[in-house]
Amino acid sequence: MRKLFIFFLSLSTAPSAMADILYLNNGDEINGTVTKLDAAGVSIQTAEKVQVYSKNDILKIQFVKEYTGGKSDPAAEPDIKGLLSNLPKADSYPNDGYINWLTDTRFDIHKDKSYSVTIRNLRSVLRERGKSPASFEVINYLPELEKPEIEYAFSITYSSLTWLNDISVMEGSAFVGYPSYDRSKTMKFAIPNVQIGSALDFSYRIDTRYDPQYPFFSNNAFRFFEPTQISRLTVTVPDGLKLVYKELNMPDNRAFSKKDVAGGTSYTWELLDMPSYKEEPNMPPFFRHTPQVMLSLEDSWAGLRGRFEPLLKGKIAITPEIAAKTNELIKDKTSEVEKIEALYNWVAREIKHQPVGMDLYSYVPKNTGEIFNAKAGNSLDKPFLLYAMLSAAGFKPDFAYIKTKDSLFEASQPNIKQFNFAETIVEAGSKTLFLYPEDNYRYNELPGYLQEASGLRLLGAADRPLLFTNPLFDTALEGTEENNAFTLDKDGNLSGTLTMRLKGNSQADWRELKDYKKEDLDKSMEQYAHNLHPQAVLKRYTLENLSDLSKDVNYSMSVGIKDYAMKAGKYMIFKIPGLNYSASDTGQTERELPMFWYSRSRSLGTITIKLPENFKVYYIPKKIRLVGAGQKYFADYLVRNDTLFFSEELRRESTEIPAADYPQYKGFKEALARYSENWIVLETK
Amino acid sequence: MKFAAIIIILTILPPVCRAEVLTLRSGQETTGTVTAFDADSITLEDGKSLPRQMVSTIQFGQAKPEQQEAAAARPSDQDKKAAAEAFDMARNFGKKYSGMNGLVLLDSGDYTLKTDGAWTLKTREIRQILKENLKQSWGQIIRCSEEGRERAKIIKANVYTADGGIYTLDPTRIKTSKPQSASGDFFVSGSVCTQYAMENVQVGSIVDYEIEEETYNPFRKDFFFPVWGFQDSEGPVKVSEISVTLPKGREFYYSLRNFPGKRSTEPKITESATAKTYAWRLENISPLANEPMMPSYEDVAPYLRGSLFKDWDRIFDWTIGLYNERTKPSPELKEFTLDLIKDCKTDEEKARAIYHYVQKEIRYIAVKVGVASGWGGYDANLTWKRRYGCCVDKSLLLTTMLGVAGIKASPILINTNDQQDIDYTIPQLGFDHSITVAEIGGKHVFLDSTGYDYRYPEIAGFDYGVHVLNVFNKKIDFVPVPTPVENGSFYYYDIAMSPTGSALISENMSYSGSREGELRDYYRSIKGEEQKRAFQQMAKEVSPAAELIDYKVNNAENINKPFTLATKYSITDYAKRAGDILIFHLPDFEVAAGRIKEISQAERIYPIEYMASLGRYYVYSISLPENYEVVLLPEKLELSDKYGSFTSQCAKAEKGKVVCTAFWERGERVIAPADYKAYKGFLEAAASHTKKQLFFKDSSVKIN
Repeated sequence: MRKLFIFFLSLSTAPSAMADILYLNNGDEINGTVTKLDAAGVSIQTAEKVQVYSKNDILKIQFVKEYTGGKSDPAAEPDIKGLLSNLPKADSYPNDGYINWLTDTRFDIHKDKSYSVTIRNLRSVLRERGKSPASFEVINYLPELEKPEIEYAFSITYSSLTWLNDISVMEGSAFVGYPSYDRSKTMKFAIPNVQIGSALDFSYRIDTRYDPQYPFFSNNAFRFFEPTQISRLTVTVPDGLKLVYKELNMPDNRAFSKKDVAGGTSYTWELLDMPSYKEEPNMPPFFRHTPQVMLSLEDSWAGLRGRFEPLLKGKIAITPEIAAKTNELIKDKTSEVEKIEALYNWVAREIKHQPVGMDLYSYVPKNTGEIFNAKAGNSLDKPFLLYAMLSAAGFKPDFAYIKTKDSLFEASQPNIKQFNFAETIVEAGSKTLFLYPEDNYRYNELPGYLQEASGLRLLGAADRPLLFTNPLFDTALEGTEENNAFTLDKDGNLSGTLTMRLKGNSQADWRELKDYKKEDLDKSMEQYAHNLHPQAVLKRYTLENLSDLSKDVNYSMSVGIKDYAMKAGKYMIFKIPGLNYSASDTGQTERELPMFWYSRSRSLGTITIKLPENFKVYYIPKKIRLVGAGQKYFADYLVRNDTLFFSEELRRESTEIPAADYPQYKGFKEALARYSENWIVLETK
Repeated sequence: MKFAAIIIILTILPPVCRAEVLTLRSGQETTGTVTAFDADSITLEDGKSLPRQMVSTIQFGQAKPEQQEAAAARPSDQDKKAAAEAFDMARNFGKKYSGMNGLVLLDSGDYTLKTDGAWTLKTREIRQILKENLKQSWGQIIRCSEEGRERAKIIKANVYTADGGIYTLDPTRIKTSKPQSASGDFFVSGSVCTQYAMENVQVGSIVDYEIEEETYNPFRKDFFFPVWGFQDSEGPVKVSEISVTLPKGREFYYSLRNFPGKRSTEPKITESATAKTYAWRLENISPLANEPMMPSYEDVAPYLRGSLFKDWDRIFDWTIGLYNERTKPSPELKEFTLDLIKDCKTDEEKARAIYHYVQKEIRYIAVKVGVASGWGGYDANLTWKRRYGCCVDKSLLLTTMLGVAGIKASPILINTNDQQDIDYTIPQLGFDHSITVAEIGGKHVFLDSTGYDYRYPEIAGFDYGVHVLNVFNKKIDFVPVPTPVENGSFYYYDIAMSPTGSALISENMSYSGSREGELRDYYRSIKGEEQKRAFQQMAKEVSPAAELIDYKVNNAENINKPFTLATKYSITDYAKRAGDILIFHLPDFEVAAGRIKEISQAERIYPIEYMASLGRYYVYSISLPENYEVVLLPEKLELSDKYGSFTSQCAKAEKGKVVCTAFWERGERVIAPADYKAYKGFLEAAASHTKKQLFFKDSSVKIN
């Protein structure tokens, strides 16, 4: 061990691994220090000698910068010294890959509402799996508005100091595949020379110029999937501007201070000794449960609408092509709902979705003519075109920005950056339709992440409330309904037909199959049937309306399963085909976090099995009724005229179950799974 | 004519402009000739001086993209004629096929090699989009090129819509963008992508585009490897054709795989005074089907690969040159290596110590900025200092350290078995991974130091069963597939049943081969509390009434020792009651149908490709209370086919004890389509058997 330590000490004085790189046309790469560059060529000092190359032989020179931030002896700085003198031990953190010794986020807001954020992380690696995530960071930015800069980054392993250099820093676009929405960039870096026991420190700054369409807003988490010793957030606001903040899920022991500083006010939040989160089944999205502080500058929802409404109106152009298409789509429709559905279906299907969030492109939609011509739009632009077409059709829709259920909405923070989706709302008779044109959803359905989501009306009648919440759809509008009829023969072979009707999010999942060509769909259906049993053979199937958003998807298939029932002497045993509930999400005896789903669900099933003539029922399970933690289950078996009837209904009515109610949920799921383990036993007559 | 007059033709720059392009750290670019340079500043010929700290790169001889017309041209008569012909072709061709996502009407390519080693590929595609999902992938053009060596130019991009609309290329909407590497471990820079999203692409539209890609500055003048695939997975292909034109006198070697039926693989050859052209054409090609666990595209589709030379010597010589340079140990690395192995007595012990060191201490990060780092990797000494590297870097470091230990070793270039089989009849550079081979104790041992979890001499499953390039030995080598027992999972269960039907189950699990490394990887990557949850979940999968009592994960972080697992759980009412009958299944034994999806189809077109061989070995020792009377145990089953075997039996042992054993083995990795039916029957019979139950009678229950 001592020898190893001496070795690392010697590394600290070894030549740096950093060098300029000369890329030659023949593919070679020369590492060294470029000492001369003129018309004659390039000289580079390598470890062994000076080499000279003609310019004609050179492809590129890369000057490699080390990110030292002007520091000469970082180990002497108090924070790092404190960490190095008291390096956390892996045994003290049995769950964790690394520890955040300090996460320090500092916002400096300027008088012109431009702002800078400086993020520093000081970490120590506890285990091998912590090496990569501890030393890796990604920064997203919009180049026209934001400028990121790495101030410094280094690792200290034993006494060996290694700076980050350009070799493992990369900038580029994450959306090259979506040319029309390729705007945001990412900068990422990986600190070298990281081992178990390494201390890592990095700091970077992002300067953001003021743009009223891209105002200051930040949501800052204080607890993560690795533990944090000190988590600190500081915001400095100049006189004349007012910070609006909201603490969400913050524990009582958080420290908060507000003090006057030169020319403004400084706010600081601090949390100590936050343990890591651990993965739990069905845990809520991160920003629904982590302690967080939401930050914004003073504004009002009305003021926000006042600024954005004209911007959005300016983007609405009912071009002759849009008008003609709108008229064509509604010309044969008589009712309002039919017209709305026709327009919705066209936008959902014909405008291809571009998965680039508005935070990574723009909070102001593109011109509707441009969206229409490109036949492409993101989660803002597709609903915006639908709004324009509904308006062109004579409706009076609203257009709203939505915050999906992945994070918490805060009404006290009027800021456009709270939102990440958009939708169009329209009245049709007594119905209010919330329309997000997605090509797997019908007009009267809504993806789970948009149900119960909060929204802000930016266009439409001014007398409606600015803020609203999308509905959570009833279980009758979500789920599946199965009706299956089988015949079991005396040898235990089963054959029959399964039919299924689908609604809501379940239907949307099945509609994904529309992208399969016929041959691949056939093979998928064979596979689906085979999932019932290793001997299951698909005889035929129908799958209707996959691409037709005006109708529900219907599915039926005929299968045969050889040796489905097992024989044991005079007995024959089997289970209801497809009845197989699992309790694998209830392994834990208790939970820390609630259980979460995006939508409600319901599955209804009726199954008949014609029994073989020479057998009688020896045993069937009793009927069951289970209720607990927002779940309900009912099932019953019945035998009449040599036919077994089974019916069941499973409902999930709650989308969030508090951790305190987990024992109820666990009891419910275990009872449900145990019930589905029951055998039906026949006996020869 | 009037419209044409308003098209502004901008200056067309020559392909190569010799001015230097300086990229500043701010992201801005400036062009000029550098005349002076020192430690502090860079001076351009116009006298402008830049602080050196501000400059990130200087690119020499970068080709400027040729600038094009500033506005979309109005459809010409030729466009109208092309649109009409395309729709006619689509109508006629489409009649033969139903349910397709799209039709490929023309898929045409033309490689041209110039005398200076530069080359171009011109492609023309005419495709009809029949489903929404293709609007994205077929409705836009993205071509990425290496800066300073390659460029892409969109010559034509027309959209013909079913209602008669014709939308021509709008050059003002052509963009370029530098991509970010998707994975967190990848830093692959130096490319720029030309992007164009075609407008008004709808279902029923036909896209008709032409692209010219040019490699104007190849790093090797003789590395010209044209490739062409003739089949598509989205729909049938009416015509797929490729031609390769070379300067007269250049030899051309090629290989064609998977040509359908009796169609000739012989090219049509034409010659001019200066060039020779080889051309292949296929018509009416059915779409590629999608089957679970099928081979990769090149292994099943008609495919051309070509080269200017016949054997692998030049590839060997080139890679040997690169790797020799990078595997010379510095005195420090030598000293470190010798210290690391100082207590090792045999070559095997030395290799083990070094193999484990490179796996554990060198983090996987792939930094690829050019040809040398991309193919040649970094100097082993640099990788060792940085403590990170990609597969090539780690392989070079392992080779170097083994060399210091006196063990002969070589880097290996490999295409992992989830990629196409390399066609060694023609030289190419289509490899995706690098490992190492060493001569240890008289054995030829393959080692893969990229992962973190493989105990010597285990390697990852994706390395098994492929031919590889053994660089230093200049030969094509083969990584063997381990026998089932060498890549196995071994399960030992003790099950104690109570008189009331509850069970206490103790389970010990051990592994060999890649299986051990894969599981070690999983358990090392999750938190201690999450390990516990994984065991709780596993117990619940045996029975909803299961409650975990204890578990152990042994040596997840220590690859010097075998990775093993142990668990203990109780289950109330484990045996299901049906009157006085108790029905009991062996825990974790059932092979659910979803786990053998590869045999779900009645017939298969393509082989099944597993990653590795399979060995599963189960022993269940079941203790029964006095009130249990054995009614029926699953009958003994012995199955075997060309590829594997399955043996299962349960028997009463001493009083109150039943012992069940099962062994499932598959020695091969690839199942041929001709053997599919037999293999499907074998697997279905084995899986069905695993559903069998054990039947007992509870003598303490009285049925009225």
